[in-house]
Amino acid sequence: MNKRTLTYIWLLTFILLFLIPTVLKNLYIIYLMNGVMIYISLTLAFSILAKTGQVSIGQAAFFGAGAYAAAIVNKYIGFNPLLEFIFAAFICLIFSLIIGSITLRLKGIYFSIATLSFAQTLLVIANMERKILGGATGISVRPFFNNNIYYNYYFSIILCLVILIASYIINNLKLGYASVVIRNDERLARSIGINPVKYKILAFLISAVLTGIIGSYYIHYVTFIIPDEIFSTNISVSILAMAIFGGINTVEGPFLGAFILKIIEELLRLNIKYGHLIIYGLILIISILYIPEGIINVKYFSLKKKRRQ
Amino acid sequence: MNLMLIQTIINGFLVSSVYLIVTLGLSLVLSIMRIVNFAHGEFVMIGAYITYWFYTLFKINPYISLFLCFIILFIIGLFVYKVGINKILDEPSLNQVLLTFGFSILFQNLALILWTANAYSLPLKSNPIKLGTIFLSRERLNIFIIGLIITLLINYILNHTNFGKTLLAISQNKKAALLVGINVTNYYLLSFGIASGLAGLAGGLVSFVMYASPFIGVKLGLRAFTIIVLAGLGNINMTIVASLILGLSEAMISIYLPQGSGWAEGLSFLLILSVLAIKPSGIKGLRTE
Repeated sequence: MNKRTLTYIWLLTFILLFLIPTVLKNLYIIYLMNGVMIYISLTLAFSILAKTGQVSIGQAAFFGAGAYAAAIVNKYIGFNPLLEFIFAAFICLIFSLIIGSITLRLKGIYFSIATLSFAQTLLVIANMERKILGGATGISVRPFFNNNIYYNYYFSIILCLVILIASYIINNLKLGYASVVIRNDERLARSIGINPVKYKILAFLISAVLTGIIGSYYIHYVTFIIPDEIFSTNISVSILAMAIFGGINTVEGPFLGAFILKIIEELLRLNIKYGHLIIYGLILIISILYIPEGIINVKYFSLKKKRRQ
Repeated sequence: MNLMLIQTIINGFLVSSVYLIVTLGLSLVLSIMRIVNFAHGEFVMIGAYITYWFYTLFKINPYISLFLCFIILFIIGLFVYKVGINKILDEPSLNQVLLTFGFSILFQNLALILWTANAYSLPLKSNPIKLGTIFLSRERLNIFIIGLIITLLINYILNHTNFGKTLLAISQNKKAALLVGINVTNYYLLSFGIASGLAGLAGGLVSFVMYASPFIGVKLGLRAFTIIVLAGLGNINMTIVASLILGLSEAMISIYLPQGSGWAEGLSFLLILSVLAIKPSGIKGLRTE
């Protein structure tokens, strides 16, 4: 598939997404689709890092940190979306810089353990700290767009589109090419003058900041932070499974993976009260064992064939 | 010295033996196969459930259940190895992390589906031993003794038997081990089974002093990672010291800090990050490529 066809497909996809509320007057579907768009954005942000071969199993940490940053600005300074986004981005930048500069120099496994443990730690702090963070009861936030689900949905689509375009741009920058080399062979990367640590940290920063910004938007959509939900392992796990299932070496893969899995999860959630996330465990295992390149690279989807790797 | 302080130290000391056994299994797989098994904590969780249910349904003495835990988790371990681990041994660490993490999520949610999110604890009610003004919980003392015996046993097996020496050879140089005719695949299978069995046994011990819930796997797994990061690989003495450090400092924090038991959860992360910051070259045996 060439570039032009791909562009047309994306255009068509986003036009369809925009048209959903006008065609289907079903509120439930709009809420579901809003969730889908948010998860697609998160998965795309995660994939920027995953392309370098590093797995963060605590993406929820940055999602939650962004949400709390927005809520704190909202609480102490007042409703100011731009300031909230900037503050969320800043907080996530600092966190990821500290974790990244310490652990990304080492073998990937340290990074995974550190991110997992970071998410757990933030959860504990959020649950414990009462004065500023509100403890286990959380903080309530003023909603965007007077809580109008349609405007929220359109905003989610635009956010998703921005991150999608950013992903394509990054793929065509040196960071994108370097990521592929680093994932395949770090020694090779070093020998051709790519500094793996630098690019890994850069990718991590971008991914964390984007995740934080999504978090700060999300909190205005749900209007209330509950620490156990915003820092839940479930978020980290689902993002992981979506990206891997779709195929992390492309941009289309994570989009498709998140789209399909979020809808499947929703169907399961309606039928199983506890543990519907078992699907993500299964998907991860099956993907790694049988389709490690993701469904986007299965023969039917010959998208990858003519794309430069 | 303050009585409460002594009591806290003793409690932390006794609990660290559980951490030690959880870590021994994880460390075994890591040093031999170079794989971090993120599902290790979930094996511990399953062990805790086994002890609880065998006691509740069949009135089986929890101490006897420990053997059953080992055997059942040994079999589960073999299964997980055959189905998954076996196929990703030579793949990039990204895939290894994702696969074992996938198993972790699978088992955790399976437990949620089967037994909901409630925590079950064994109704063990034995009188504490009184030493002057200090109380010693009998269960804690017992798990400490069992932990000690198992550690000594593993130490003996690894250092003084042919089996242990073969494992050491494999962990030092896999290709050389293959060349001298060691069936590496079988040893991998067996050591993964033993490590899983140890996790199950640790789970049984956990159910004596804590509870069985779908989420204890994550908690204990994270502590085991912390201990490995602190102690490095392949050194049982250092692992013992690191378990003690973690167990004692957690006990201290949870007693002396307001809402300390919550803050103690964050200690692992702080330890991991500060050790890695101080020793940037990585810990022995896990150095960057």
